Amino acid sequence: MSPYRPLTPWSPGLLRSGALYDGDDHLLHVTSSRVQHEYQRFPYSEIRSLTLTHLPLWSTPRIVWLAVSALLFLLALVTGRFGFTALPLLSLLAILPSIIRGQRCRARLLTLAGEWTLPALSTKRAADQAVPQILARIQAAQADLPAIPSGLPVITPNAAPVVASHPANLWYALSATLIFTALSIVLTARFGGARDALLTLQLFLFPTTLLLAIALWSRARRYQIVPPVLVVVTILDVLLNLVYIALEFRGPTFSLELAQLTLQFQNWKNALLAAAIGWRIFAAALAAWIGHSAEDPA
Amino acid sequence: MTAAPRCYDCGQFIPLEDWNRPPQPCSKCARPVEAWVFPAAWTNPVGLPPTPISDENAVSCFHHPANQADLACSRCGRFVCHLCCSGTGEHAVCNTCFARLIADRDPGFARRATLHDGIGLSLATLPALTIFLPIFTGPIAAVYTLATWSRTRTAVPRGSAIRWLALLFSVLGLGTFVAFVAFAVYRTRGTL
Repeated sequence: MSPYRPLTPWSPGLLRSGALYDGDDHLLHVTSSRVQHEYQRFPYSEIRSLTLTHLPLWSTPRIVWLAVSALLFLLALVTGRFGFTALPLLSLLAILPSIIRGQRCRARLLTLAGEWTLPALSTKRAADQAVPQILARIQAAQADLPAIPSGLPVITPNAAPVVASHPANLWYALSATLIFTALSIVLTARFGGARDALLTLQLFLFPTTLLLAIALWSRARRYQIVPPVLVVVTILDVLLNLVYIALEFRGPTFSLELAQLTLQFQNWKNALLAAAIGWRIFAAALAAWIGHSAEDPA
Repeated sequence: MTAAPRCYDCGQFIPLEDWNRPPQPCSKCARPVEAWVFPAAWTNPVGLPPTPISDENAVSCFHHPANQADLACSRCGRFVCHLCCSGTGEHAVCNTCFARLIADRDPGFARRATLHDGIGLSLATLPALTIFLPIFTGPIAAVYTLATWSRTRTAVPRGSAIRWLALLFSVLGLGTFVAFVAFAVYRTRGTL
């Protein structure tokens, strides 16, 4: 019989999910990676503070994500090329669960040992459910300690704020870029004729990457060099591909098949496409390498 | 280490007047922030030195004879000072017992647990993306799921649904493997 009582449902996540459990005298945070559970125990008597930052439901990246999807739908309607609708549909399906989960929030716990983020409290719904119970347990556990002095001279926010950094998120984003790039190349090689879907993938991928890079730039203050490099690389990538797309739409016949591409370099448009793909691989590898090396060793 | 609560989004410290109140806008990023601060924020038992023995009748720490014992280990019963114990209240254990519990993977003290049912399910389902790989991974997943049927020990309650799903998909994979072998044998005989 487990001594733990669930405080929150498991937060949904493709690769990682989390949940909070109530122990006799401590709070248990469980992170699951599908093949392993990781446990963090926070004694109620040692918790110094709990901070909850509320985030808006309609953040800029989400609005842009939906706008890009809508744009691609529009493109499919205007051009009559219904291959364009595949990715917007997938992207809508991907974003729908997070919208259904409602308003988001981020919880941070401060203990004697350090500062911890609780991914299990990532939605307002989960926080509303769990926070009152956690507060009651902490207050009961610390009832014997002296109450908060009114002036409170001991803890004052006089130190310089520790800048927020998200190296892990950055690393995941860069890995995703690399995977998407590899995917588009594999698809190009395998299904050379399906130009609509490939073009959609490219059109969808580049603004998303650019947006992600800009969003991370505003967040990852600690690793100043990473996001600017990613942004510059992505902008160049976008420009190169826009030139290609312009040429592609102008020309009556053109194949994306990689086998032809490697063999027929006499066609300068093919060479341009090869350069675009080569640049994309290089950029993604460079970005991934920088992201990896920028991870906090601590 | 600083002990003041901070906004998650921008790292800005929450001013004293906003503590233990309904959501207040952060002074830097303007996002609504709630900060609950508890009495433990200005007590620091970790930094307190152990109490030296002043009375002959006082019980001394098992590991530090010069220190007064603060509590008894809930596992072995040894009296220890607060430098030599881990955990709190009824669950306080001496550091020796704590190390042993970690080594024994006791669910109450474990830092991680391997989810054998999750591994089995991944083995049975993920290779299906490659279409042909389940022919080989199906039998492996079936054997693994059965061999580790009751070996998943987690600290928190975990149902058996994933285990049964892993078995179901493994059996499907195994069936694919058998069908593939039967088909190969049939074709070989037909050729000969």
